[in-house]
Amino acid sequence: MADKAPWRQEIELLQNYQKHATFTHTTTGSTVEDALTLAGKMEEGNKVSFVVETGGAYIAFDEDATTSTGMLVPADEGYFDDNIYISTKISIIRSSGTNARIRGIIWGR
Amino acid sequence: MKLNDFNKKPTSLNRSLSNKIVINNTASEARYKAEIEELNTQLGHYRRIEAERDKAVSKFNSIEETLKTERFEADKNRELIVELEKEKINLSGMNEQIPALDEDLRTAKGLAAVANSELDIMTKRAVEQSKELSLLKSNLDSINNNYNNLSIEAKEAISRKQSTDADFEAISNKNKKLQSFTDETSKINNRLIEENKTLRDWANYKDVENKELLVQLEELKTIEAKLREWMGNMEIKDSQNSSSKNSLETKVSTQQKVITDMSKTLDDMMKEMAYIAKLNREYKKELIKPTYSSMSAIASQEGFVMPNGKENIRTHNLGNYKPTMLKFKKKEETKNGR
Repeated sequence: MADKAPWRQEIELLQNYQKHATFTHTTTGSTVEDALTLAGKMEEGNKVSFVVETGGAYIAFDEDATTSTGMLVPADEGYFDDNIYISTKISIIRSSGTNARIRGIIWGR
Repeated sequence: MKLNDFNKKPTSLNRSLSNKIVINNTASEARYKAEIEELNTQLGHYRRIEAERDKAVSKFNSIEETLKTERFEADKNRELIVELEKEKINLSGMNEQIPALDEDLRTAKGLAAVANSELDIMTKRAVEQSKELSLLKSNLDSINNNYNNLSIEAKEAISRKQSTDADFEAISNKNKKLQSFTDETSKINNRLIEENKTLRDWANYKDVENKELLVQLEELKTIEAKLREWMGNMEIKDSQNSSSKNSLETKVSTQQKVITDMSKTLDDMMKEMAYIAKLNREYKKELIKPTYSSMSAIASQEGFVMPNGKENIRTHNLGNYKPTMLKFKKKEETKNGR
């Protein structure tokens, strides 16, 4: 997890999110995998929406997801949040023997 | 002010820096100082008690010395009595043989009685002194106990003072850290205030410029109305005073020149207004450009597919926390991921 988010000018915060990235990733094993890396796409992600299908999974932002610290999203359920700060990646690890697929969009600057 | 004069706007701004915020933990410092003073007074009290104990011990030693001397004298007197009794026995044995010794015997008996009475007096004094000594011993024991208790209390007080000093030092360090953090925060705040002021100045400058342009437009409208009025008057005069046409022709030409100048000025103003309108259109065009792509727009432009038409059934969460986890009503999804 990043130590702190950079200070933004007030006029920058009034602007809409200029950048976005879509991602679709299916796990291939029982280890953690990166569903999305922000490098080259945007400096920071501030709004995210995704669904998890075919099997449940643990999701983590800016760190490697584990079955103890990750956020459990059951199969065919989703997640949405805005006014957040993601600086590096979104990682996924399946919660059962079934491989999980994550689909979503992230908006940011 | 015209738009061309915008570059001549002074860039330096005079602002007064706000004072830094300083936090002093005076309440804790005063409390610890009061505790330290109280401990110092307790320490002085214990030292006074220790001096009294030393005095009592020295008095006890002197009394013990006196008692030893008197015991020695009593022993000597007992030995004297024994010798006198021996002598009395010898004298009683010699009484029959030497009647003259009767008188000496009586004298010796008198002396023995005196010695006995003296011995009784000294024995009484010794008993009294031993009683006093036992009383002093008990006093000394109680003083020793008090001294030990006071010593323990003094040690506790010193340890408490040391722990209080350590706490005071920790609080001072914390206070210094808070001060440095406050300084940094005030610096960031000042920088943000300055940037905010710059933006406000820029907005005010633009407002003033707009107001000036509006005033110029109003003036142009007034001039146009006046010119129209003048033209009407001249036409009326022309029709009415056809005889004086020749003489007025010069005046008319002069007025026409004025009108031409005014028209030229008006044209310049209109061109400037057209330029401003064009600039305004450009600004509006930039402002209405879509910069934030919705999910459906991204899906249609990039061929990315997200499940649509799903209805979230988790709409209520505990407290005022906004729901982020989405659970959908069971509905068939036709498309899969790309």
